[in-house]
Formats: sequence, structure tokens, C-alpha cells
Amino acid sequence: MPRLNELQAEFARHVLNGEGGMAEHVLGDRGIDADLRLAVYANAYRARLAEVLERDFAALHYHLGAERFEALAGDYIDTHPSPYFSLRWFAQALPDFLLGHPLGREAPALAELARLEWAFVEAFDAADAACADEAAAAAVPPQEWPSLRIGLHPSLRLVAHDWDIIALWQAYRDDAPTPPLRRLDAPGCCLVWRRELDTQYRALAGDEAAGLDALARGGDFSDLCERIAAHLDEPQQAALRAATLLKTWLSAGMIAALGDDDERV
Amino acid sequence: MSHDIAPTPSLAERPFLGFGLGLRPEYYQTVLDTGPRVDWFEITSENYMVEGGRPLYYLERIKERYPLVMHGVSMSIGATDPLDTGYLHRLKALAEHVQPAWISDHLCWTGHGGRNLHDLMPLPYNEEAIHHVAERVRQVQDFLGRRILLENVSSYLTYRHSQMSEWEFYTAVVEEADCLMLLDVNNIHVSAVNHGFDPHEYLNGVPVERVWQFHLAGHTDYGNFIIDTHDQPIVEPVWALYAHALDRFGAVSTMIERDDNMPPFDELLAELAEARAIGEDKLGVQRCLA
Repeated sequence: MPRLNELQAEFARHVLNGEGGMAEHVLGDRGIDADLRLAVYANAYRARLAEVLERDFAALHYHLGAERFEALAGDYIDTHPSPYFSLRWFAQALPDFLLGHPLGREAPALAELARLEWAFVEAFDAADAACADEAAAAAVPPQEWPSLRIGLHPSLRLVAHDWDIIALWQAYRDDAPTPPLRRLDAPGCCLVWRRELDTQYRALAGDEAAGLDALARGGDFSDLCERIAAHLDEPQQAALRAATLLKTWLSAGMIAALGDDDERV
Repeated sequence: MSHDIAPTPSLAERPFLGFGLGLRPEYYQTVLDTGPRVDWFEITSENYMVEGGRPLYYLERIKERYPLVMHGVSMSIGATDPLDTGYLHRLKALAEHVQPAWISDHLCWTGHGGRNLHDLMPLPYNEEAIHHVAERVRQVQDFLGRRILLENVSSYLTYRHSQMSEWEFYTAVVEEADCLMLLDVNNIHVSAVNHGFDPHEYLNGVPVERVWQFHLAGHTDYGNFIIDTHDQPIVEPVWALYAHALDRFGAVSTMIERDDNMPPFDELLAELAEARAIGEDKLGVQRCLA
């Protein structure tokens, strides 16, 4: 009689890799042989994980079509057994995996689209935070502005992309045909964040993307201005532009804190 | 003994929550808006082990209005991998926040060698498995500071080396571990059909005082097998078995699981009313008032 540990190891190998050897531990009874009984588990495993991938990457599934998506999902499932207690994290390596996969090499735009969809997944249940508002900004004394820390909402994600993935996302959302894959004239950045309970996205202008990137790296208002200035024809306008952007961000619920943690407004 | 759980549960300490439903995201807003006549909700613990957003927002509000119990799928109590202490810490933290009437998981294993199969894998019914699972349940109960409920799973195969019936195994585990039982009436029906045993013999074989909760659900008949899919209404034989279970076990908190092919909420309420009607018939109307 196999020890419990051996039995589970054998069963797991059967489910994960289709390796034989498990059937000898299972009764073929009631007219159903051991292989068919085992197949119930192996099939359920793959179906369950494929369903998670399809749920998390619905737009990718839409544009690839069921057959190609299924092939991709199968390859991912084969190479990425889940170490997670919850399926919430199972799909997280798919965008990188797709980059190196024939389907992604053929259409790099789709790997970028996958990164956008994973940002949606992350934003959905990222940590909550109270949002700062314009009144909080107005209360900051002028001399404190240069070194003012501006904390982004924990759900905020910046998705850099070279292809027009927003058109791909919108075509999925609108149930429209896949548009021609278009490479952007300049690198783009899509902002994803959760406003109250709803996940939002929008395309960012170059200076806005750079400014948010500075804040995401822990920068202060001076860093924000510096990054913005690099994008302006008239760099002396940077502080004004930064103030305008900050106002937009505050009203969109993208800013969680102004100032240091202990003097958070 | 290091644990401070009182010995041998008695029927007098078994709470009766009434008739509940699984709390599912599709119905969050309806539950808040309409305050339906549901006595309690069961939450899937793992769905709330996240940082924030929609799941925790609704949990916060619904727990103010309804009693909750926590039902997990990831404890892997029957695995031979070490217990996942990270998971158990999260479970304990969630329980401290939710203050559930109880915490349950499944009598099964869900992974091996650090790889999660995300499924409720059956255990062989033998002495080694009994002692192994019971010891781990004791560790979990010591850690959580409370008894847990273990649920019987649906199964689609029989191990060659099983040495007893499922209900003998189940009973031996819960008695050795001193834990409680969540009896899934649908799973008993599914396994009875798949393996050809008498479901009444199963019900009659488990100890009355340890059964604290019933699950009811629908399944899918694939001809060769019945699969526990939770995507259909409850079928007549399961209702009949439930009525028999009430006869034997008395006032046991009952809930309906629905996880796929989600119907309008009213359909689940109608199904719950059916469970309540059977409860009123078997236990008396007064006992079953919401």
C-alpha cells in the first residue's frame, strides 16, 4: 500500500503532467475504468485554470479567438503550476510569458494588452486609501511645496506601451472587430486606477506619464516638476503645468496623501 | 493538552443560524439594496484575503446586517506538504475581523510539492490518513483557538487501498481531531451515485452531535458521472435526502451554494424558501423563523 505522501505525489504528477502510474492505485469499478476516473480530475484542473486565464484576460481572448487562446492557455498551464493558495494570482505571469511565446512574438501588441488587463486585475482589489482633495493642497504652505511628498493611490498602475492597446481594449469592450495593430508614433502610457470601487483607465500625455512615474518612484513636487520640464518647450512653465496636473489628479481620486505620513492630510 | 477547546461538543452548544446563502459578488448590491430574508451568509474566505476594493467594501457592509460564517477551500488539511502558515495567519486575521459563527474547510488535499491543484482531491480511507488529518486539524484548531468544521467532498474515484467507507473515515477523523462536520448533502448524493452506496447509510453513520452545518447545491449529470458543479438548481433526490438529514440531525444551519450559471437572486431566494419549508415541516415553524 503506498504511503499517503507517495499517493499524493503520484496523483499530482498525473494531474500536472499526465504522467502514468496513478491508475494502478485506483479502482476501475461500476463499468468506468481507472483512467477515465482520473481524467475527471486532470480535465477539471486544466479547465479551471483556463477559465481563470480567460476571465483575467478577456480582451486577449477576444482578439486571439478561442482556439489560439486555448493553445496559449495550455502552454501557460503546462509551464506555470500554481504555488498560490488562491487563483487570484495564478495568471500574473501571463503577460511576460506571452512576450516570449510565438503568439506574442507575432503580435507584441497583444502582450502589451495583456499587461493592461493585469493592471485592471491588480487595481480591482488593491489596498484602499483615503484620497486627498484640493482643499488639502490649498492648505500646504508655499515653502513646503518643493519637498512635498505626493502619495499615489495604491491601486494606481502605469502601463507603458508601444502599440495602440487602448484601441484593442475598446474594440473588445464594444464587441467590435479587431482593429489593425498600430504601432504608436511615440511610446505611450496608459493609466489604470480604482476610483472608489470602479476601475478606470485613460491614455496619458508624455509629460503626465513622466510626472506620475516620478511620484510612483517616491519623488516629491520638485522631482515632478523636473520630469515634466523635460517634456516642455518652455521648461519654466513646469511648475504651473505640475500644479494643473496635480489638480486633475486630486479631483480624480488618484492621490492618497500630501506630505509625510505623519502629517498626512 | 495545549489547546483550550472544550472537550466533546454537545447538541446544546450547537447554534442554529437558520437558512442561508453563499455570498457571491453578483448579488452584493442586491443584498444591500433589498435586505433579503436570508438568515445568514457564508463567505468564501479566500475571496476576502485581498487588500481592498469591492470585495472588502461589501463584506464590511453586509457583516453589519447578517451573521456570517467563513468557508475556505485552501487549507489542504489532508495534504502531506506542511501546513501553509501564511494562509493560516491570513485566515485568522480575517476571522478576527469578520467574527464568523464558525470556520470551515474541506476534508481533502489541494496540492502537493508546493503546487496547488486548486481542486478538492479525495483522500484514501485508511488509518494513516485518519491520523495524519486529525493531527493537522488539531494544529489548526490550536492556532485558531476554535473548532473548525470539515466538509465531505464529492469524489469520482475509489482508491484501491481504501479500507473503510467514506463515512467511517469521516467520522474517525472528526472524532480523533475533535472537530465538527459540515455535511454537504449534495456531495453525499453525488458520491453515492458515483460509487454506488446508499446515501442514507452515510447519513446514519455520522455522529449527530458533530454536524453543525448542511450544504445544499446542484450538480451536473454527465451520464457516467455526476459532477459537483454548483451551477444548477437542487434536484429532487437531494431535497429528499435533506429531509432525511433533518430527521436525523435536527436543527442544523442550512445553506445553498451556487457558484456558476448564476440565476436572478429571486430564484435563489425561492430555492431557500423551499429549504425553509422542509425545515418547518421537520423541525416546526417556530424553530425556523428568520
